[in-house]
Amino acid sequence: MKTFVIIVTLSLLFLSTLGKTFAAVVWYPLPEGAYTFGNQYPEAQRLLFAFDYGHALVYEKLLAHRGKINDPEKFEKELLANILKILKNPPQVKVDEEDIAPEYVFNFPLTVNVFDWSHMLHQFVLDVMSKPIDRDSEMVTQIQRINDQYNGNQALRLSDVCKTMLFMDGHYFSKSFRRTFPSFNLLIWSYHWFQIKLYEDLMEKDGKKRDLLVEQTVAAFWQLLSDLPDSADFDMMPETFKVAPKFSKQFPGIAASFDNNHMLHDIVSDILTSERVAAEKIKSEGIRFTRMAQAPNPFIAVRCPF
Amino acid sequence: MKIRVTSFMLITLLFLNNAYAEKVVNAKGAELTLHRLERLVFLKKINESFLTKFRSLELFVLEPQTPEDPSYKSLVKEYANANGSHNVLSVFLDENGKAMLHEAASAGDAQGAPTWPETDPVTLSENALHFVLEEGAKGNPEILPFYNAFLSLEISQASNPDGSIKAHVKMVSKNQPKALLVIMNSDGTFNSSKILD
Repeated sequence: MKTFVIIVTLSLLFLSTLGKTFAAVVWYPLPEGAYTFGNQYPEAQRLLFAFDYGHALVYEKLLAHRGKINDPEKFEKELLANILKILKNPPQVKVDEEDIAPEYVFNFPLTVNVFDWSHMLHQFVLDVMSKPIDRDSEMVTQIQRINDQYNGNQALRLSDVCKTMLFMDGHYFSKSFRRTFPSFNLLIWSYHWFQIKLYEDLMEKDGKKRDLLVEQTVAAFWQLLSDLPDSADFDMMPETFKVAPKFSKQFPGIAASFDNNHMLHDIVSDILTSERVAAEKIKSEGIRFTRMAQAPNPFIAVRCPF
Repeated sequence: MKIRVTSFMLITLLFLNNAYAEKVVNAKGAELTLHRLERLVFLKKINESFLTKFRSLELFVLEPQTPEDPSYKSLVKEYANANGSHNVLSVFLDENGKAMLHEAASAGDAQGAPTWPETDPVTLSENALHFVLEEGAKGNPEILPFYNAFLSLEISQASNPDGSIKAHVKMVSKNQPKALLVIMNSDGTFNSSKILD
């Protein structure tokens, strides 16, 4: 019986590793106060979890229906309805992408890890900023420490050098997603706006004002989604320096890194939507463009706007 | 209705609070006009021909009397129709380059617009403007007049001796009597630039 239990356990362990062709992303040791942003701002935190869920789900659906979407408007409408349900009833914890988007995880192994690593940076920065600590020195020191740890992982860090918008829009597949699914694209840009607007709110020194700003940003996010596409009046992906100027000035490298993350999300959407990307090239293009997002030189901007 | 108005005010306030304070340069105003054009086409608010038969863009600097007044007006034209008139899109922008409103006037089907093999002429023009924006930001003296004092651009198609198709984006500045020609590859990547005699 003991031998049987050992064999079953080992078999289960082996099976659980199948399909995992990449190393796990581990931030060790976790920063003090990790994942406490939600204690102070539960609604905002759950929306952030929902965004990760939503992104992965969209990518999975685009992969599953690739080349078979005869009525993009209908597809978009159904997808929007599904995602809005998730946003209105967001998860309490971060959802594992492998569980909801296995094809996406298989096809974008490096990208998924790079996003996970970057999302940890986002999360831990928000955790620090949600604390009632001195904004001038203590907060800055803690964020810099987190950013140093983020940048220490050369294999997964995104570049903290500003890139031009041509990085996002200057390729043979560019703009396919927004052209085919314009409302959905505006939903994603609303996510981006929300994420970076939170940083600006949390720069506020007064705790009560800070809470009010976050509350207003949550309300504004819902307003952006209230009557898509018209309610989200973005012509371009929201950029950190515009939405969060104080944050960008204080943390220029992090701001650039966030923009590179957001641009890479749009690039993945375009790769998955464009008929010009052959199915057998999806994986290699995903790796190629993720590497580009990590490297400082491709599409380097002459200067950061902040 | 009251809720909608209040919400709109809230959103506007949030955006305005964080608006990029610096007035955009003319070339940026032109680029942002093209982004608005794309949005309008993708959302089917204006005819797709504005994207596929795009011919030119002119930028006018306005003198706003109140903070609500636009700072720029862009006039986008398609290729002319059989009678020589154009479908025209006017876009009004605030000082940050944010589109405030638009008007589209239809004059009939454009004639003689070239077919672009890889991407649309708006994207080609937009990418040519990116070149001007980057070089202008660097302080390239040859490009600066087109960065700060951009007046208009016009796109046309040209074939190289090797058979490859190029986009010729000719730009005019208020501060430079000679035009700038930005040559783009048909996939939207930058090829070269020169000042025309």
